[in-house]
Amino acid sequence: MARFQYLKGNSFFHRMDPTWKFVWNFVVVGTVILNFDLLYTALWFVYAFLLAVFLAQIPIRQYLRSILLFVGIALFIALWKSVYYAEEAQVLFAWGPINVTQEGILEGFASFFRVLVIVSLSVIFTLTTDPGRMVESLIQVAKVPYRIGYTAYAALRFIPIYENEAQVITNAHQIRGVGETGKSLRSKARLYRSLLVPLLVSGIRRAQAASIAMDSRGFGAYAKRTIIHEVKVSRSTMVFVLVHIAIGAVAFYYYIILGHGIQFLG
Amino acid sequence: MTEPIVKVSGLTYYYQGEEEPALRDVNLGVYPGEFVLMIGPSGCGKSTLALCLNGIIPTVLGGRIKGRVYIDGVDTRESTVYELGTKIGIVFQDPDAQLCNLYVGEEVAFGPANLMMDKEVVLERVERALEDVGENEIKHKLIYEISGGQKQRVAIASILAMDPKIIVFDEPTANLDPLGAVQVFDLMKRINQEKGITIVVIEHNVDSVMCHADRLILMEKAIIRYSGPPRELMREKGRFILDDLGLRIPQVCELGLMMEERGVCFRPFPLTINEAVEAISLQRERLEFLPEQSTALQREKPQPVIQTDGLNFVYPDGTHAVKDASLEINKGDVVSIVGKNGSGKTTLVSLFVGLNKPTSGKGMVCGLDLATATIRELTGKVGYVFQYPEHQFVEDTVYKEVAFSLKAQKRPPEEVDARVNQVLELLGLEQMKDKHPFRLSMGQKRRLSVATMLILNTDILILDEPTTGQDRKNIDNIMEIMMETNRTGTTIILITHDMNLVAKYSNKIMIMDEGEVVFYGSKSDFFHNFSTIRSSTLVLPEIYKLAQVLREKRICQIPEVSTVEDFVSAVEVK
Repeated sequence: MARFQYLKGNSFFHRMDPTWKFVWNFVVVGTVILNFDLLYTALWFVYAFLLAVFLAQIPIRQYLRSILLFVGIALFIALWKSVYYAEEAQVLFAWGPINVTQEGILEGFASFFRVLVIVSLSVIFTLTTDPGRMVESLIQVAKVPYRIGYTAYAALRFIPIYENEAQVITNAHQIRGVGETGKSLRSKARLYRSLLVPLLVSGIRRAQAASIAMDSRGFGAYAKRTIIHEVKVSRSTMVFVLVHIAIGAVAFYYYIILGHGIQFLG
Repeated sequence: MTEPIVKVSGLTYYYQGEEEPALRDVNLGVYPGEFVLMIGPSGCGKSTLALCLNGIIPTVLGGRIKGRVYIDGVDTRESTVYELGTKIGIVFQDPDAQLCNLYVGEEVAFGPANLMMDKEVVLERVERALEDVGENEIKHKLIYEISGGQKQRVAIASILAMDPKIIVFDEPTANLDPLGAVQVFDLMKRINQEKGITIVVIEHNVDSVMCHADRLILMEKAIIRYSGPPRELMREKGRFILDDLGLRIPQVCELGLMMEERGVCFRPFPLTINEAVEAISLQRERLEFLPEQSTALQREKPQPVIQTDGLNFVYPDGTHAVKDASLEINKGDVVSIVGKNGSGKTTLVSLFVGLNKPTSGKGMVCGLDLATATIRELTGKVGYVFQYPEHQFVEDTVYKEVAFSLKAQKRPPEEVDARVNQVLELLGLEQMKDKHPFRLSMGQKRRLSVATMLILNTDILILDEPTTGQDRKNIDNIMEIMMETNRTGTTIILITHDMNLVAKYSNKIMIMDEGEVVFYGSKSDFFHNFSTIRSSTLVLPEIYKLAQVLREKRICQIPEVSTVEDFVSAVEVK
């Protein structure tokens, strides 16, 4: 869990308005996937890494820990593509039924960096965004109705409680001898299945209690509610995001309209 | 006479899809500034009535309703929940469920902000409400960082910020430790007296709130059975409440009733310790107190079943939950572990069943080494009943639930069947055999969770907070069964906040504070040394305090007693 939890801080990305940050994330991902070129995606990855370390001030160790799992997956994709390539391709060397192709390697590692760019951006977003501020921003900047925004907020508050409860239930079931062999998939499945019912029952009960408590304090009385913390979007945030939108537009024109980019083959 | 601020007339209510009414022709008037205490067995309709008062029933929950409820002159059926929210607020039992924000300040601002009050007004109300509950300094804290007692005070502040005329409390102290509970009751009284807010409290744990109440309401089976001044109701109906309804009454009231049965009438009938002291000093000549009897039972040589030496446990996040625990629990002991929430009680016993492995130190349980023994080996020796019975259920019928562990041990089916039936009968669950465990009542669920452990015939039984959400009848029932197994040699470990339970049943007491065992010894040692024990949460049983005051004021020479029965049997009536 700690891999993807908000880290307190005061970097450029921490101060950025969450809604704008989300748009930025979306735009950059969109730009990266316009061209399936190894160098292009690799450069974007280096850029994302630098942003994470310098503008988001994520400690390198934390950053590596967060992306580690995905490095494995990305590497798997890369190797898979190097070996199995659907189209006609130049075979570099063959070993039994396995043909390692040049196109396969290029495209495989382009995918590798593509996955890592997307993961890096998500890591920047989740590690620098205070969930509370995100909800405020969604309501005030993105104009999401507060009833919906607040439901998300309440859910956030309940996450640690449910985690804790799931742990207690797992313990209680271990005492009873459920899933005690531990290793086999069947006993694991059994453990999770028996976890679900009590967790749902208490979840529903708590949700009902929470909604009654919220209603009794006037939740949903009017279409709007008093804004206590006004969300302000700084000029630097706007400039930063707009520059990326411009880069995205240029890339779109060059690679898609003019057709210079390498498209996904297979 | 002023008009009642809460007026319920002819209220009958059926929950959606229910045949039986949850409330039947209820009539009630509460006057401005009154402090009303409402008691009744689980499922009698108290909480339903509370939800009717603020309009959640029928506006939000639906169902069929007859009769009217007027709050401050407004008919709840012709008003909206949020309009009523400025007149009447409810504080619920579970502090986690009723707080829906991340930060304390936001939580208190939640209500006024929903009502579109100006930002300045909202902020001023937050300030004032937190001031009223004495929690100003935690305004910027995250809600999941603060203690249970603080959460409950924040919940009260968030209601106060709505500026209501009436506040309803639905079992507000059920999840708190004893000191937390007393503080919440005192806060209620203060709000009532200083701000003139009308208070309606629903409670099981009445010892420290009865004396605050102007009126006591007794509900039973969807109706209001009695309503009147607490003193008269306690004297006249105390026996009925205690024996027939299985509810708790304050210990001094119980004492008053028992003395009355022996021909000594305390007048006025006491509700507080001070009143009891007064009443006893008035009757001084008729009472004779027997000297302390040496109750030291000659036991056989102690046989340790749990022995630990410098046991430590540190959670992965660095919390040092058990610090250097060295202790010995003997066969046949009934040990109570007491301490505030988060003091390490549950973590300590989790080491005894192998859920956690000690970080350092040595420990033996029934000859098994805690460092190496598996959960399976340890649970063969130690049964552990969790705080919330639902957490432990794994099957879909009561019968299968009880049989589960025996089947896992691959015992012959005839033996399993015989044992299961025997245990079900012992716990009075034989009629429920085919029901789903989740469909049982609170008391039945608790008994079932005990049954699932009892069937294993373990040497040690651990009960974690067995009294949560139970009325006295259920608690007594469970404890009697526990004592029965104790007589056959089973060692019992109780984790509890309930000092009356501790005083009544245990022979050894362990106090934990911030991971440390700060006291471990016999019950009499505990009461002797009480003032020297470092723990911020202990509240002594009323009856013990009464005897203490009587001794200190030199009214009479009564021995140390920790239960009402002990007190009464130490008295001779002339």
